[in-house]
Parts: sequence; C-alpha cells; structure tokens
Amino acid sequence: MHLLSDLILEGVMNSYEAGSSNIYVDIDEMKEGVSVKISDDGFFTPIDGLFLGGVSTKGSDRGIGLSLIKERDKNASLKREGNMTVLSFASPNDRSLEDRESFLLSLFVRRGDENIYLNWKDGLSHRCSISTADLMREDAIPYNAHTIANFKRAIF
Amino acid sequence: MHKLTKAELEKIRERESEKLKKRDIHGKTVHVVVSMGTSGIKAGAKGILNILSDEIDRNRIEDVILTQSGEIKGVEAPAVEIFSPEMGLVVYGGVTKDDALRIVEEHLIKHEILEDKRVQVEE
Repeated sequence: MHLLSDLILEGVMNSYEAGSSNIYVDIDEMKEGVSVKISDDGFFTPIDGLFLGGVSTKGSDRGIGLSLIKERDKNASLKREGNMTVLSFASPNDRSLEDRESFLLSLFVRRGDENIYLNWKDGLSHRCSISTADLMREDAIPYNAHTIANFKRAIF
Repeated sequence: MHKLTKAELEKIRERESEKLKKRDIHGKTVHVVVSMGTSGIKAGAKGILNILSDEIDRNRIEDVILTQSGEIKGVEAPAVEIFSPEMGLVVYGGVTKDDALRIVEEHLIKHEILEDKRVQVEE
C-alpha cells in the first residue's frame, strides 16, 4: 500500500509527465489529517475516468497513480484553474512525512528541467518552504557527493 | 486551453527522455537513474534512491549525476539505469537495499557490473 509520501510523489510524477516546467506542492498537516495540493503548468488532456485505474493519457498499462490517490480520498479532484492543473486530495497522517530527508530527496532529485516549489505547513504552524531555485543558489540540487552534502545541510 | 492528443504527449515524453539520457554523458560523468514510476514507488524506489544518495555522499563520489525517471517498461521494479562512457548502458531490475549498496561499491567505485542483477534491454 502506498504511503502518503508516496501518493504525493505520484502526484508530482503526474505533473512531470504532463511536461510541466513549474510544479507547486502545498502540504498542510492538521490534527485531522493532511491536505495536499499539487499544481502545475503542464498540459492537461481532459478525458473521462482519469481517476480510474488504467485510464491514462500516457499510453497503455499506465494510469495507476491517480487511481491510488482516489482510493485514499474519494473526494480527490483534478481540474484546470486558469493556466494551472490542480490535483487536490486529503489523507490521514500515516507519519510517512517524518522521514523528511527521504521525502524531500525524492521530490528534488532532478528528472528534467522542472522547478519544484514546496510549501509545507505542519500542525504547529511551522512552515517549510523550499524550491529548486533556493537549492540551486546553495549548489544543493542533490546529484553528486558535494551537492548531496549541501542538500542535507539545506533541508535541516 | 491547448489540448494535446495522446500521440503528441508521447512525443513530448520521448523527447524529454532523450534529453535526459544525453545530458552530460559526453563527459566522463556517470549517470545513475532511479525509476520512480508507480510500480517503482510501490516496490520501494524511494528507499533505493535514499541509499544511493547516502552512499554517493559517504564515498565522496563526485563524477556522477543522480536523477530519477518514470517507469521503465519490461523491467522488474525498482529499476536503476546506469550510463557511463566506459560501460555504456546497464540496467538493474528488482533492486533491493543490499543491491543498492552493491551498485555503489561494485559498479560506481570498482567499475564492475553486477551480472546477477543485470537486465538485458533493447537499446
């Protein structure tokens, strides 16, 4: 079963595969659960049943990721807002985000030339904002020994 | 709003994938790609990425580019692809945490292929 951190990653992967240049990840941890919003400027091809397993614009044997999110939250939505595609869902807090380094690494290890903007607010109103541009400024996009060490310093 | 056809989307994916494969490979840099598609994530690719990152850091390996990709078709997840000028493309499938440690120790440091984990793919 996918953890919450995995579902967020699924949502981000969906944005990558839509050819997005900018991906905004908003995470709000509350007592009653975690609310997640992933917005991107990628292409949006509206087809019926995007949340059903196996329904995808990416070819055959694809389209599982969004169905896993829908399994977790039957109210999950994927819609176009202006020029952005917005995926929203909520989940009980399974504490998988507590492995902060692993989660952030999976978000910020590069895939292409995309920019990630993370805005993460926990229940104590502690806000963590990290973006690809922030990490670039500190030579901390994790890809080799030097930058991985910088990344670990930057996220704590 | 511009609507893409499936064919157009596929073209974009192929183009981006080629760009990623070619990036920096002309130098002496080794390119390590962890497949983070749905089956990869389910099979623990996040943990594999973490171990590779930690070991690259611990062993002070600088001539490497660690990146991630989507699903690699036909390869048991989690999958790791390594491109290097000397050894070309090597794909490892069904990578466990122990395998990830071996990939760094044997492939990246000693330049030896883990034949027992290698998957033959058509290039």
